[in-house]
Amino acid sequence: MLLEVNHLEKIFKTRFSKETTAALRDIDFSVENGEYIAIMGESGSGKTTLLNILATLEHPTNGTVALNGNNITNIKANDLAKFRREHLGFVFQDFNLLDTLNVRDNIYLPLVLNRKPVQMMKERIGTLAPLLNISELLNKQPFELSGGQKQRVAIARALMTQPDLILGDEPTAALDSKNSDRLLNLFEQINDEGQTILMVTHSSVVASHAKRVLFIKDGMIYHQLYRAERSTSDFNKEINLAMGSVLGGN
Amino acid sequence: MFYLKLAQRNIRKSFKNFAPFLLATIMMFVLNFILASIAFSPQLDKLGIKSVSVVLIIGQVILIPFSIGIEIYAYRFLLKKRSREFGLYDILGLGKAQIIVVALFELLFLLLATVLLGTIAGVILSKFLFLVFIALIGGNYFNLTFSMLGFAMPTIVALTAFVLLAVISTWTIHHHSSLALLHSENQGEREPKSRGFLAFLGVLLLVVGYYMAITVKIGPSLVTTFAGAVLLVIVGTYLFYVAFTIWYLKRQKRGRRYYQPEKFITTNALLYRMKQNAIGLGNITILVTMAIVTLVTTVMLQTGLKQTVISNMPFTTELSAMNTGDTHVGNVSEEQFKSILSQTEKKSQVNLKKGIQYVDYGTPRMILSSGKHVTINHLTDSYNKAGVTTVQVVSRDTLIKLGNKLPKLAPNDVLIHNYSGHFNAETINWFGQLLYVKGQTTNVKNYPTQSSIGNSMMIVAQNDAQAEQLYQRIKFDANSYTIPRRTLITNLSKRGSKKVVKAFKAEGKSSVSPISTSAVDRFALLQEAQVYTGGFLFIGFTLGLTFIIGAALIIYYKQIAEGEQDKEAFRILQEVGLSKKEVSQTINSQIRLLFFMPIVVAIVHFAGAYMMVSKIINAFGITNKTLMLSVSGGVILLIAVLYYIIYKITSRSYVNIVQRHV
Repeated sequence: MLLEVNHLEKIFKTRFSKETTAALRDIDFSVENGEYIAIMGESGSGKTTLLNILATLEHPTNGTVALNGNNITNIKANDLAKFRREHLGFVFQDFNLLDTLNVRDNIYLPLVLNRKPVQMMKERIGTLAPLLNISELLNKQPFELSGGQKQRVAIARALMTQPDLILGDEPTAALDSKNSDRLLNLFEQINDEGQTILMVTHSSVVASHAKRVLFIKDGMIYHQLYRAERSTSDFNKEINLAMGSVLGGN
Repeated sequence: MFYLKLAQRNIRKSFKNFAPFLLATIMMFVLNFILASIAFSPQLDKLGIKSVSVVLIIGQVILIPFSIGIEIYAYRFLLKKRSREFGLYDILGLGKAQIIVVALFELLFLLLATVLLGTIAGVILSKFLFLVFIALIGGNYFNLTFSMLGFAMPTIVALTAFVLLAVISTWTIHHHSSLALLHSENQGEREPKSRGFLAFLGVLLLVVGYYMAITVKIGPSLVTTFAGAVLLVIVGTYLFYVAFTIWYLKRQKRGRRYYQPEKFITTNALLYRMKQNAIGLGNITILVTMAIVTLVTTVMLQTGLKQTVISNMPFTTELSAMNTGDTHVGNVSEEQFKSILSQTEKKSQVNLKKGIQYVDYGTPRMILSSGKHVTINHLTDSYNKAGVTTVQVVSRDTLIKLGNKLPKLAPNDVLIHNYSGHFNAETINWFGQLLYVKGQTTNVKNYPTQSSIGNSMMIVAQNDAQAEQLYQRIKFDANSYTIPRRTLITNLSKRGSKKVVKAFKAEGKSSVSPISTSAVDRFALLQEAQVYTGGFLFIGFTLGLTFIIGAALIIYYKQIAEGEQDKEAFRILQEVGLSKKEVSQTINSQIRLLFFMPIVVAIVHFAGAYMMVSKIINAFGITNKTLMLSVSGGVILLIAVLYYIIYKITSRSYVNIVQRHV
């Protein structure tokens, strides 16, 4: 078992009143190695909070998250950054590339932070760049790239450390449909090669590319679907159906 | 008036954006106001120190372009922030012409606010500063009345600046598409290009500028050399920041150690930051250098002055008479001098019996050959020929009367006293007469010293007669001659001194024989000098203050601008796997570097200018080297501390911006 989430709970307190809001209540699920999971929910459902806790950017109020059997919710604050850069890869909706670095250096960044030899960086970029079709872009600056190109660069950056888990936060939100399709196919391809991926999204089209979809609403997981051998369009229909039954029609 | 209201509302709603700009314009207005109101104040006429107002007006000539520059800098910053809003108006259907009208109305409001608030602050501050100023020059006028010109000057300056701003604003809105306006805050930037030639040129200009400043010679070319060196260093400074730093960082990128976390992040971040801040850093550096130079010069003039006056005039009162009828070898006889003195005593009712009499043979400039056997054979009126030395002839008797202990001398023996440098001759061929140097007097007490530019020495002769004989041998020409003056020096009270000086001067006028008298009163001299240097010190402080405020404003804008950019980088780096602590460490190290660079470069500049500054101060007769060093050290420390405080206060706004979303 790669990831185990047990009875996760997150309660926010507003600063000036005693009111509390439960963003997550009793979340339970696990992820096997090589899985491709989409966590689906409307805005406000708690999916971003869940992702932030998995990314160790936030602490849960209760419950545990274990990666490869190690509880990651009680890693010391000073070691969190190190943990993130060694075990996790991130793909964000707004790409999060550093403007001051060129594409190559943006991709190198996590390995530089890990103090890895330049030789290793060159080897890995050598295999990743053709795969992601960004070989031509390596010497450009981020602002010269299109959205789809930027997201592929961000994926390359996430894959450089060969992370245990890739976390995606609405990775296609800022892309047009064509680039979005390309990106989702790319995710499938990466997953086929054994990379575990977990992403959150509110789009059924995006979710339909995953192997398993968890539905989250009001801080609880209330349903899940396996894609099995279905095509994405069939799976998409089923996801929409599942959403509709819960939300009361579509 | 829809546009008027819109402009009004804009300023109210986004006052946070307008405030720093308004602060800048008001500060500049106030500084202009203070200088103008004091320079054009009728009080200066009453005090009889009209010359000070000339100095103050020169100060304004420096301040005016500077303040307009600062205002433009602040406005461009404001405009960048406002562009988004203007772009939005454009998209919502307000035409460019209308947007320009709104922008101009905004400027009009800001101008009115500047003049109004600036005048109020200016009146209060200038009254206060005038008190300081009067205290500095030792006067006792306690009220500053304002002249129309004092109000008009700063207003005209502000008006000029705002007209320029209106032009800039109109141009910017007119020449940018609405989308460009909308996104002007977050445009991606190309990595700066490395310009090796300019980098090299910058360093070269600095080196040449320093070389000129260090090797500058006293003389008529001093001012042009100074101006040239300053110009080279200013251009060199900008090139240093614009080209050299980028060239250096680019080189770092090619280095082997580039792929190490600290270097990797810092080098790249600095590359961009230098690109955006090069001019700003150059400005700060030059302002800080100017502040240091101005303050050191003026403080030196003020503190060194009293010392110089006292060493030039060891006694409070100096009365001397000379025979202008015979300019060549003429002399006032002892009897003539005694009768003038007794008349003076009678009229002033002050006893002069304690005074010490001697003959002052003046300070002619002569050309000395070098070596152990020196020949002195002709005079010169030039300062900068080789071997030029100011030579005083003094009788041993005079120095003994003044309380010095000196060895006995034979008729052709002399003692040498050096004011500066070493003069180790064994013999002197004095216009054909051979003199033997029997020793050096290291320290001469109570004799009025001559602080002159360049080398100077004193030749002590056996006695009065011998001194007279040495003087007679000097071959004068029409351009350079000195007339011996029979002199009495004595210590008197302030009142007594004043009465004696008046009576003695009157005696010279009434005298039938071609004798003219001159009298100097140390009290009056000190007062006069204080007025002069007090004016300078005031200018120095006001200008120094202005330069530091200018630097402070630039630092403030820099911090805000950088905060906005760093906020993003800060967040991304954390998500990619840098801890909060590591991120703030990297950012702090960058900020510290940018903070210290201008002040370090400014101190290096000042070190380069040190020789030149001390030579200029020498020209005012202040030659105390330790004083110069400690004043410089003190001023640098003061400015460094001020700069640090400004940095600390402004960096808080930076930290607020950066940490908001972390």
